[in-house]
Amino acid sequence: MICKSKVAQAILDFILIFGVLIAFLVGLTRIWIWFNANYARRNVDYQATRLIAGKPYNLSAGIYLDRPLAIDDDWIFEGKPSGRVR
Amino acid sequence: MGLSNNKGQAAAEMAILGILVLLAFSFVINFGQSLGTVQQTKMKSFRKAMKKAYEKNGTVAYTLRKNSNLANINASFFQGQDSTVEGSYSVTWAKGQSGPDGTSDEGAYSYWQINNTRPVELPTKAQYQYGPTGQESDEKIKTPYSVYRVDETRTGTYDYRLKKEESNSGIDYDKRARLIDTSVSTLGVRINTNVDTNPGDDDTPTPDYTRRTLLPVIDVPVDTQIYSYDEDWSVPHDLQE
Repeated sequence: MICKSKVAQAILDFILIFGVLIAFLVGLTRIWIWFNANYARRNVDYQATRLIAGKPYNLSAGIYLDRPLAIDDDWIFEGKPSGRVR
Repeated sequence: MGLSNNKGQAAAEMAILGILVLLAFSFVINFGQSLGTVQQTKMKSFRKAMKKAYEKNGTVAYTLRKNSNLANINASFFQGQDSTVEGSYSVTWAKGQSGPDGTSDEGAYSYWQINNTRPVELPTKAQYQYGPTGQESDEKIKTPYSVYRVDETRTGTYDYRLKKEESNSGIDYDKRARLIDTSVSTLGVRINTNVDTNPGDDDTPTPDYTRRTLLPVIDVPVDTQIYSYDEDWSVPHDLQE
């Protein structure tokens, strides 16, 4: 009886730790994707504004645009991004 | 005795695994933030150089220095780790003769910006300039100084408060942190007065940087951040009165 309890406890421990580990890894992956997506988005915006930034008008010359994606519950827990990278 | 050992091993495994996962978290977030800040600072500094070059109608060297806080597992709640990134670009954008209308003795400028302060225009010195075969300019040209030293005092005032109240109705958990990050800087600038009169030959004179000065940067707080984490857990009770 004691032996069975020990096995059951080990299984429970394993399930618990594995669940926590998976949750951490999913969160970690989402954060890493967020960094990469922002890196790409910043670059896309930068390239897209090259022509306008080179136009000799007071308002547009050297214009800089940065629209980071939101890092919020929707992205971390549900995987819904706040915008598109393009 | 055997059961007790198993419990100890499970606890130790969780503790070790938890630390490893948190370390991985810290590394990924720190690296990602650092990469993003470097990219952003470089892009911004180039566009700022473009804008200034357009406004000044000449060649502008623009340096943007940015202080930020990166995530760090060793720091307290939302305190972070100091980080400094620099981006520097030189852009020429001139219509006709560079410099303001009617002038022929200027056309190169140098700017430094630290965080969100007003950009500092570095002083210039009028001196002759020489072409690749040693031909001297018709007149003395205003040449900007360059920065050789940045003396920066960075102060982070950090407050942290934790309140936890337990009662029959539940647990009230309130965590607050405030970080006021300030930076005051002085730029050391200098200029080489021993100009190479014939850049085309192999003989390069020893630079003379005795002409130097200090420029204080009027600085505003880098950042003020207030973080809070306020959670209440209520436990329904069927209290018998």
